[in-house]
Amino acid sequence: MENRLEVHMKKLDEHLEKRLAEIKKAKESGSKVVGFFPGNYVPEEIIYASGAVPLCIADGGDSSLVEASLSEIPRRFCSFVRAQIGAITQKSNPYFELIDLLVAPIGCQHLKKMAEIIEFRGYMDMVKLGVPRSYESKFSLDYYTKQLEKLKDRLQQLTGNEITDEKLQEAIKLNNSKRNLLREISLLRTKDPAPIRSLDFIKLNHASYYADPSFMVEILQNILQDLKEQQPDPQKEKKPRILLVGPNLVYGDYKVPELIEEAGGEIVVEEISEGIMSYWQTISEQEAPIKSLAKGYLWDRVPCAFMVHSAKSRLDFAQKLIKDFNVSGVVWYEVLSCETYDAEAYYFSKNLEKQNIPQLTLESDYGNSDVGQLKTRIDAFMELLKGGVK
Amino acid sequence: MDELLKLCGYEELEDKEDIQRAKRAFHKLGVTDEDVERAKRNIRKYYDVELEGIRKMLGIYLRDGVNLVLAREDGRTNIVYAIMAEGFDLIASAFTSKSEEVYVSWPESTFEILFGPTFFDKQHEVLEAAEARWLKEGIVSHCANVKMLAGLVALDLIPRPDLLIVSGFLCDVAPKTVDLMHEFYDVPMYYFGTCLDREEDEGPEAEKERVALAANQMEELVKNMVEVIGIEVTEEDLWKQIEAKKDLKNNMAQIHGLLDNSKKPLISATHGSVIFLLQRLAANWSNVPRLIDTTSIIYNELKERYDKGYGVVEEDAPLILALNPVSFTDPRLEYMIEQLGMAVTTEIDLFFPDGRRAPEVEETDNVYVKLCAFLQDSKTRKLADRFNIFKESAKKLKVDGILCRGHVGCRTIYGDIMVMKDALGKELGVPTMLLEVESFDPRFYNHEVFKRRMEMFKMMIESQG
Repeated sequence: MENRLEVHMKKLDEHLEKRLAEIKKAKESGSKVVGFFPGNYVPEEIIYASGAVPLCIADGGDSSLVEASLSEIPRRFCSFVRAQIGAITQKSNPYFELIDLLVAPIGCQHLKKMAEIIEFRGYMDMVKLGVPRSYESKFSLDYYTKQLEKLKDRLQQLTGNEITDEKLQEAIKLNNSKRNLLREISLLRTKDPAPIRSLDFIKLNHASYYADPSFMVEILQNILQDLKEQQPDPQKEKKPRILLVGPNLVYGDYKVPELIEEAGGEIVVEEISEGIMSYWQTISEQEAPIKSLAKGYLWDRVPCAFMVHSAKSRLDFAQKLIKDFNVSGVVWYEVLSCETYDAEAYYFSKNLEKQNIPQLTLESDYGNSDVGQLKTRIDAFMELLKGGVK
Repeated sequence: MDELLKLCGYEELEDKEDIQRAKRAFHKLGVTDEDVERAKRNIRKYYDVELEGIRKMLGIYLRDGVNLVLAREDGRTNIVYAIMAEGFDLIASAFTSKSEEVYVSWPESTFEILFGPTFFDKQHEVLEAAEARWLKEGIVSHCANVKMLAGLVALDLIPRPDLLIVSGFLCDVAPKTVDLMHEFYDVPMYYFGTCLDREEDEGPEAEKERVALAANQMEELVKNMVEVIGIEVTEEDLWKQIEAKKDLKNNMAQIHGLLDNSKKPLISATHGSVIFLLQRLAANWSNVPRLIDTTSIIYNELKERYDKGYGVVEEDAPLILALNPVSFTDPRLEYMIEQLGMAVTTEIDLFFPDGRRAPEVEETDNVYVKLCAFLQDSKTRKLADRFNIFKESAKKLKVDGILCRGHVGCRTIYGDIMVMKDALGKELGVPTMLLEVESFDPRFYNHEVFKRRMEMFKMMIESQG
């Protein structure tokens, strides 16, 4: 089976290798390219329905870009945000060069400041998409809905295409397929042993940000089918089952998942805001599409930690994952300087402690200088968990 | 003790009861005779206590601290703490005007002054208490303002509140901390805010929607407070509060008009934040007459200096436009800069070049929209607007250099400091310097390092001039 998954992953890699050229070609033929940042607050569906190519910029992991950003943004900003500024100033990410319009969710202060700097410096045209922090409030939903309407108008102006309800419904359907397939694949990991490595699952998520959506759905369907048919290996060693929690885990930032695997742990589920597509919800296909998208992206999801009242609902969700995926320990991985996740790490650990679920909190940037220290801590944590594995 | 209270403008007639209350509060806070002696030295050094208004101003903070510590003893059954809650002071005073059982405070602000290096110098233990919880130290740089609230409550130096109020359009950490205090201490919390997503070419409708989001949440906040506190507050009560505080607002505007339009600083920059924060204390209705009186005295005393051509530094001292507020707890930097013979503008970045904090809100019959005037403050504007505000202020004052204070605990004002420094330097052609500070954490101040850098900055200015 492993080979069959490898075949699909290889096919996906080949697609991604050609993707840049494909988008360039589409652009030459008059298509517009609309970039956005991850975090699941920018509904890709609206971009897709406009006929533009949606491109979620979810690159990270390169410490040289983080360093390069230092002339623009101070070091106490999260590595992900700094890496984006570095990539823009260094022109290192060819996808950025293709973008006609960037949609920046005004969520946490890090994303907000990044957007302001990009706008002030005139690096690219931008739409700021306000994301109210009091996500539970009906006023916030109204505001966010209006923001999506404005985004729709702006995209219509950019592309010259009318975004009809039918086009939006079609886009919602397509993205629901993507979300449903990712969810189904993820849920297969409730089995022990999990039929897919976390790193592969994470890479599928990352690929979905760049790949052609229809192609991605096809690949996910094939992978799901194959994984379902796969027979579990009874000889496979039992490993500590890990829930990985954190603010972001983007393309290229694989240091911590790799170290967990090397230490003999098995990440069976991730609760990550930026870098893992929010796949637990299905956007309603019955309601007016913009309203439906607003509800789906603001209400029917796990809130990011910058949201007010998020701590309890995020903890409740994590506890559900711990139960459903039979998790034995939590690894909390945050990029440096993410204050809201850092504060919540304490809240999670205190609450999980009461349930005898150990938590390891790790902070890092995209550099390699801390690998030794991270490895020691992860190894020790896995040893602790292995002691408890029956 | 008597001497300290006199330095803080306590008048003889009210001293007896006040002295006893202060003693009780100091005992609870662990303030020793040695701390009192230190406070007297610090106050004389950093504050212009020759001015009656400044002495009285310090007294208002001291009273707020004492009242807060003794709030339960005084029979206050509804203690409300606010943090980053702009615009809330008017709502608060509507409640406090109706019942003495309600007490509202921004405890972090009051204790940043009372526990800061210009007073008792006891902030360290409070900050460390917060750092032992969810606001840890290190490169994550959680804001020390938020640490103060969490630390004061964690150490039981102030009563555990009955209600927490927070806003968060400028800050992620304050709402997160209040959320966690709600979870850990089971204290109800309410949030109001909006999205600061202003764009270059947006129409007037966008701003209306932004204000409406905050106004609707404020209205909901009042309804929730009425329910929790059990006191009726109507829209008419809020209008009355706006009217009742006009004199205070005018006095503050006049003070800032003087400070921001005077080429010579009329008072040391060490006073900047202390004066600015006074308005928050109007959350308690009983403070309002004293605040009006005190701000009026400050204005008249400063006006007298202005008329006489008095300045706190030499006539030809280079003038520095300092971006971002002076430390709310530790003005040693500004004191040192003035000792080096440079003049520092005060709080100018909080105001528009004409000295106004925010343009007047258009006529409206919606009191909650009126309460959202703070959304027009210069600090809420987008980067390009703030750049223009600084640029115009610098041109108007003909400054000789720009000091960019980078408050590391605040992503909002720290995040664009490098871009701002670069752009202002290019635009104005004057020397610029970036100095990382923590506006609420005195442990960040490194005298020798800061002094060397400021000496170098002075040399840069002089070589250019």
